[in-house]
Amino acid sequence: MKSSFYKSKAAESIQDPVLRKALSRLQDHFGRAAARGYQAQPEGPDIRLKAHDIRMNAIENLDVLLETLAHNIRKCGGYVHFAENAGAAVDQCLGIAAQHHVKLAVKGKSMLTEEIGLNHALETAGIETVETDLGEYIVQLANETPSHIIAPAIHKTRQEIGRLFRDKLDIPYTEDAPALTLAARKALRKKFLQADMGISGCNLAVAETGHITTVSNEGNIRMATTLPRVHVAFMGMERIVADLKDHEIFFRLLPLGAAAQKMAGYISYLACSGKTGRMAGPNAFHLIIVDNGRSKILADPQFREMLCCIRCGACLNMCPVYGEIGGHAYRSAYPGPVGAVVTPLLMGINQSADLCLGESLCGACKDICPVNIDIPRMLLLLRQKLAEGDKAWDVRIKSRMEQVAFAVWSVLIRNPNLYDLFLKSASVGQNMFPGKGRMINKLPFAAGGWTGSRDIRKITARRFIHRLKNQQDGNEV
Amino acid sequence: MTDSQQARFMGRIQQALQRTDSGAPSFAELIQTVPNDDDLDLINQINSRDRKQNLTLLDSMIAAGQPLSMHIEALESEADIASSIRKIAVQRDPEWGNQKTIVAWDHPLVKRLDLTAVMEPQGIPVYFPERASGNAPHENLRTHAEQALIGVTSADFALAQTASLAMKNRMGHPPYVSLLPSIHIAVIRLEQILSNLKELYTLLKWDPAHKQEGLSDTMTFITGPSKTADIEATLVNGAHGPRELIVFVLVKNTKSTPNNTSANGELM
Repeated sequence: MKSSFYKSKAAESIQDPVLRKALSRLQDHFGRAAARGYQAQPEGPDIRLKAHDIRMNAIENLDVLLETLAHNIRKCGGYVHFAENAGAAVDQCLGIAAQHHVKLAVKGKSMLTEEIGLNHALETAGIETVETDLGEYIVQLANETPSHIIAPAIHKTRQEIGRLFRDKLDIPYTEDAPALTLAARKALRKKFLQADMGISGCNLAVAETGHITTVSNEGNIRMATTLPRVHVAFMGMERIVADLKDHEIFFRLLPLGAAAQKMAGYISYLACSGKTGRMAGPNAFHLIIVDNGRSKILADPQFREMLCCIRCGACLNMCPVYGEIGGHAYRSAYPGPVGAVVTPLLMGINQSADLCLGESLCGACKDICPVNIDIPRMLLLLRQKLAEGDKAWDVRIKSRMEQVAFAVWSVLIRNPNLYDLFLKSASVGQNMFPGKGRMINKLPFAAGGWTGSRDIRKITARRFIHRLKNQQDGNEV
Repeated sequence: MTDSQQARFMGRIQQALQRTDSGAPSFAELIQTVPNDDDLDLINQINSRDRKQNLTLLDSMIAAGQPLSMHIEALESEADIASSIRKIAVQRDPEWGNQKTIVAWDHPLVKRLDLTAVMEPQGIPVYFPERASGNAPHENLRTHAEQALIGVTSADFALAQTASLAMKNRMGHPPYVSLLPSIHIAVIRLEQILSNLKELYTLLKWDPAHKQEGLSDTMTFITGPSKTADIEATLVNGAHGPRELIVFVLVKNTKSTPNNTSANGELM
């Protein structure tokens, strides 16, 4: 079997000292500080359990909340669209762009638009589309994809960015972060002022008031949702709470989880006031609510919890696997532990099997999650489906061979005589494998995965149970 | 978009949730519709804060603003604030053009600073939204805001715990004044400082004036200057929005009076 994308990309990243240093700095800086931030809350870290309850309650009443949100937005003159899949969501946006004769669109960071492939569709339709979050902008200029939800360009060094800006923005080479930021500030300022359309995601909408919310530190989302003529927001259908008061907890937890901040730089509540859009803002506000596989997750009570996710990226900042392999191996808008569950559920469990198989089940992601989502439980469940197959999720058994091996193993260990015979023959047979002393350093076939990076101890000639028996009989000290 | 698209979309969700015919609760059942005792106590506590308590909140806010590179300063009169703004305008260089300009909200507290007169000797024009210019008083100001060195706003509330400002969008208070200029200066009164997000949300949800007004079409919380850490996780101020955020708190040297805050953040 040829090596998968995940495995080869992971192997590549592990060999990249620059990336690993960047990831380790990110994790040291944000991951641990977020944990301290939860501890410092008046409610203590249990605040995460309350957040989980609020999210779960919202998910379980999603129909009522979405109807209310749509009603409240339309009542004030906004437009609400419902998109079953990526294609429908993209088409709706293209339709709005055509209706308003849009030539230039500026975007705030939105993982959902990455998921549905919006940029490519807009560019194909002849609409210049500019990412404005600095990290996303860097990634877009380099023609790459984000490798972290909150820090999209964490895989790039300042020297690489310096060369990129020299080539693309026509400025003298510099590797000074403030100077590079200033260059992007100037270049993007023009785009903000010229853009016809601003595109944003949605953090957590409030059904009660009919507002979406956006969160940023740079102010780019405020620019993109204030200056152009048209504002189009994309919202995963689960990104909603019922009540304004629910936000109190989330806007304490989200900045902590994302960047160990007490408060995000800018939080905006955006809606509409009349047919001319917002006062001193865009003339039209459209919200596109996207399913794209989420209703299937909702329908499975065992995975429903994943819809509580607020995409803060805290689990990336804590995960030992992400910390070694970085975001690109996940080949999805959603890397890290969140991606290891969400991507298989959205894109197909077999197709993304490596993602959930690659995580370590250490549980750090659950402990750092501001919403206390039990990611390890769902990773294990995905593995079970891969091992046994699953009709509802259309999962084929990943390896018949593995299944047969375990069936044989199961017979062996339940039959002492057979097991004894097996061990005896194995203790002789193992000598044909290369090794040194009591260690084997190369096993064939599937077992080669184990010895690829470490040795395995040989089976001893005499089983423990026999030695114990001997000892009890007084024959051995 | 068609109704049938929405109906199919909702149908899938209802199926996923296994809603029966009478299954879905009404929205009112899902939210708190009347304030409870805790809410009322908190509102009462906020409204009955005395000057000493307000000054304690101010101290916390100044402390919270320090690590965010915010400059928060208490001043005793409008004239002092105007003079401080003048000093800043003189010291800083324009970023988006050669001419130093100021844009400001048409807000009673901002108007009382009399910035036009204060800046005149410096040759720095101050632009306000033009009320008389017909349908789009904001258009004209936006052009100025794109070039401006300083944007002067007020705010509805400030939060002591996080040094945040909360502001709604109203006629004469365009959001881009706090966004486009190189420096954002907010002028508030001492009594507008709340303790934390919990107090803010309680007031937004239950205070009669705020409840009636709603959140407006754009409500923004601002904490610190615009910043980014996207290049090697190094913090840099001044990403896209203002590179400096300065808050002047008007602390009148008079005897204490209880808070009396109306929805537009002005004294009643």
